[in-house]
Amino acid sequence: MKKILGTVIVFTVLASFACTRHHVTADTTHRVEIAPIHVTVDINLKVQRALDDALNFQGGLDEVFTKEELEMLNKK
Amino acid sequence: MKGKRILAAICFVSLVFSLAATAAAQDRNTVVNSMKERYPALLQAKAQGFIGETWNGLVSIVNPAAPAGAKAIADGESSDRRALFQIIAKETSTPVEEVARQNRIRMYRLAEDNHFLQNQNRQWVLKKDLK
Repeated sequence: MKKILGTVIVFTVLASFACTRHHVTADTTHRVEIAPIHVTVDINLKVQRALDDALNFQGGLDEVFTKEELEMLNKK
Repeated sequence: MKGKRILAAICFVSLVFSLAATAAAQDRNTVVNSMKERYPALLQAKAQGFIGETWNGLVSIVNPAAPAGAKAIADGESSDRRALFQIIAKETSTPVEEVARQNRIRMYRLAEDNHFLQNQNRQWVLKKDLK
């Protein structure tokens, strides 16, 4: 009985020396991709068309908006 | 007899509506023609830095020391724009303020870099400096 107890104590002591402390540092930095800033303006196409219809001598819709913007507005 | 009365009433209502539509079209044409005639002078006054586009879709004198002619152009243009905003608001069933806002977007985009525009704080800035 004493032999068994002694063996357990010896193993416990050896096992405690075998333990090492590990510092795990987690990287909490989030990589955020900065996209180009798009300024959102509320375009009322119906009103813009009415203004264009009346005031096209100042410049047409194609001068007011880019081709991409017009495509986007026409899709709505 | 009753049929003739109904027919006469329909004709009368049609006539009233067509006259109203013609009057509205004439108003619109009058305003647009007035703006078209003024446009070269307005552009010149903008290029000289006397007149700028305001935040509420109208135009105004940038410098109080601007010549009287420039003030007359600004007043006439703003008056015509107000009338046109009313007409378009009716045509499109949109609030007048929204029509004015859309016109501001339009005019700011059409402005040259050396034209004055009002920023959100109603301060005059050149378009090229507008952030």
